[in-house]
Amino acid sequence: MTTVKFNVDGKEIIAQEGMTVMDACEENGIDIPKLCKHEALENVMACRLCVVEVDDKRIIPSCGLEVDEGLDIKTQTEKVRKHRRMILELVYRCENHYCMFCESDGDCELQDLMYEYEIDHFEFPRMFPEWPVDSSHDHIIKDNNRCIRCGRCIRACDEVVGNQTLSLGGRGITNNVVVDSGQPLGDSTCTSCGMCMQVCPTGALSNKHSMFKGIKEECELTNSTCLSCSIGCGTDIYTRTGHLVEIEGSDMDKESGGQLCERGRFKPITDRGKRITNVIYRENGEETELSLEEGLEKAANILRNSNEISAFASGGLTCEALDAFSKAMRAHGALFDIVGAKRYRFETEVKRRINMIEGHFVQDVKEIMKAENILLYDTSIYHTHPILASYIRRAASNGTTLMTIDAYEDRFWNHADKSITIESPKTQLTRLVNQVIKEGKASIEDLSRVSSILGGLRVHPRDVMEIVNLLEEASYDIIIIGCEIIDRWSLRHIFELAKLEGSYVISLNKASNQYIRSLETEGVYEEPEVAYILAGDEEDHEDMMKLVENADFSIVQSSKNSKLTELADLVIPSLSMYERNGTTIDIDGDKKEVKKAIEPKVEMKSEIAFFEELANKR
Amino acid sequence: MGKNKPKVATACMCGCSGCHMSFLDVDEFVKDLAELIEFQSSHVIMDIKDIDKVDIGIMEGTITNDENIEVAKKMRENCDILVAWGDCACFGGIMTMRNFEQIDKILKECYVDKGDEDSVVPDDDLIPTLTKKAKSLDEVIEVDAYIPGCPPSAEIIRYGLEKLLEGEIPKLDKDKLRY
Repeated sequence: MTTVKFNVDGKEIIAQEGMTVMDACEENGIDIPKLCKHEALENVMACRLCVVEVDDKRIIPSCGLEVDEGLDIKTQTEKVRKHRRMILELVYRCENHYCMFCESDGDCELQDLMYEYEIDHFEFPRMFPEWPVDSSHDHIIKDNNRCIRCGRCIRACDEVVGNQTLSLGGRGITNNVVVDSGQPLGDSTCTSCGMCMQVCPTGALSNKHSMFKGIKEECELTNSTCLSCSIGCGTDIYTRTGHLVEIEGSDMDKESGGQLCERGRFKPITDRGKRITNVIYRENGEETELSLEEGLEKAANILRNSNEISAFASGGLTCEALDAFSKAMRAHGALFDIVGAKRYRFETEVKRRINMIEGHFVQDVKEIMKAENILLYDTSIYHTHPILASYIRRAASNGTTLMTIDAYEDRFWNHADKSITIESPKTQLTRLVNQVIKEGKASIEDLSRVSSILGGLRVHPRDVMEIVNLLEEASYDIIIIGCEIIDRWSLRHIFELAKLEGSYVISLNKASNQYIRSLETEGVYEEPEVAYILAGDEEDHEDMMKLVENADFSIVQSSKNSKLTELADLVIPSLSMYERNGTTIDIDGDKKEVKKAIEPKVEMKSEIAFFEELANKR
Repeated sequence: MGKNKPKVATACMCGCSGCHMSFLDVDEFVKDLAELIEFQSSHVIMDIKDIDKVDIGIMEGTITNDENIEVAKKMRENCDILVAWGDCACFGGIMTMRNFEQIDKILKECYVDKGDEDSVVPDDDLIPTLTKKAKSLDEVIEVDAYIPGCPPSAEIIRYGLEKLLEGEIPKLDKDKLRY
């Protein structure tokens, strides 16, 4: 690769050809101010704050200037500073910035630069334009009064989230960020991921729940991994005095763009569920509170004296907690299962039966963005794996053909090239696709004739042909299977289809921690003597509810109050998602660290020790 | 000795007097200050309201009515160095939020709509007339030094005064500047 030499502030710099002056400077530790450029986003040259003096003549924005042999760049002359000062002042005076009551006071990139450039008064009168404040959204306040038109939110929504909710509207001084075609944010196509808020340099987009709880500098920062789904996004957790203040996505420089979803970013902070702090024992309609020790003794006693025990754990726990729990349960002779493990077991069984090799499975889910075609079974991944959904939207926006198959509504309706709505069984559809691929396209005629005579065809032959055509024309297609599909036959046909067409597969299940792939699990007794449920922070799983309802005696270990704990005969407190140290395994099979962000608010300091003791009390 | 001490006057225009309150946070420095300067007038610590010839004039608040303009102009005429003190004087501050609305509309809403049936907008010659827009100090008179902050901390106020007594115009750098 060709390199060029040029001067910055009298220092010689070697940079690769094609780089911008700004990037080259940053690589060499020379700081250049900016408001519109962001590491996760495309460069658009909107703010002009990065101006530098070139060859003692011109003032040019460095983010748009390519490096060239012999350039003489000056970044800190009085002339440059004067320009930047004026740009800052113009940015400030065009809107209504009031630092003293702005949520971002102390966390604001504009304010930092105003300090840096020592602006203590204005040369121009201020404009005072009238802008509305949009607080219609559940989590985000959009205040155009503080918007500087850097366009980061717009680019984040488009490039990172793939949702294109935000755009610029209006011309001249009436130009500002608009939602969809002028809707309130709370009534728009917004996915509530909060990415726009994370990249906003000022207080124009802020988090309702974190407002005025403290600036980042005053908070403690913990880097951890989100346990809301199996993508396992990196999180920056800001806490203050033992409380969650804000959660942001880390790894903004990576391909994922540092995203989080609504569940990962807002739910932990908005969660007002009552914490379970004591052991509660219910007998004949009477409730008694026990100490943790007594609770352990009680649980051990009950487990010891029963023969049919079903143990069921959430898939949102750390590997260590799952391990300890499974060992304790095995020690008491229980059958053990985890949310999402059933689906994985089916998958393994089908894979073995049809001899499907691991090479058919996508190793890195970000590959979605490189696929030519995507065939998506079950669009509920929009809710279960929102970040994966964003990759699909990004791919679709960049020319990938997206075909969706769902029993109900298509959650990707505005990105899908073709949506097939077909009630269960999707098996039939996929089976027909397989048959047509095997027997040739003409066979569809016979198939539909025979099937309609028998009255069994609930699949439109046109849909079958569309899928066949889609998969035949591309060389790199990915089939994504959502977690709602749990019947063996559907899985089998889809896997066979992938095998036939050489497509890659991403198969999702409900467990956030893919440790379920290595931990031994099996189907549990449906009506056991004792059910022991270890719940996570997610919503109650229906299988857990069934077990608690059907068991003669039920033990529920949970961090917060829920329907499960209200039904249980013995309730034991546990740690919440942010009080555990440990590891998790993501969908690609990578081990990621989960760190404790807040001190446990319950007597139990370690679940692992609790389960070890429970195992010993056999 | 007393005759050589620089004379200082402070005045508050439309504002919350928070900058003056913050000034009181300089604590025991007030004692040293009394040795170093002579207050000609200052509404928080003295009874004298009239501004006479002084060396340093310090002004807090936003210009929002004729009286503010009169006081500001009088201060300008009577002092050598004029300091804009706090966000209101430097930038316009929170009072400029009324610039989004017509002044008549605001007065009507405050005095008539929110009062009872006999309520009227106060209209007396003694009451200063509001300016059309709330303004920062330098939109009306020339200002020599700016000490922003809402309010500027006691430390910054002390820094500013010390610089002035050394005969310099204080200029806050990036570490001292806080809005």
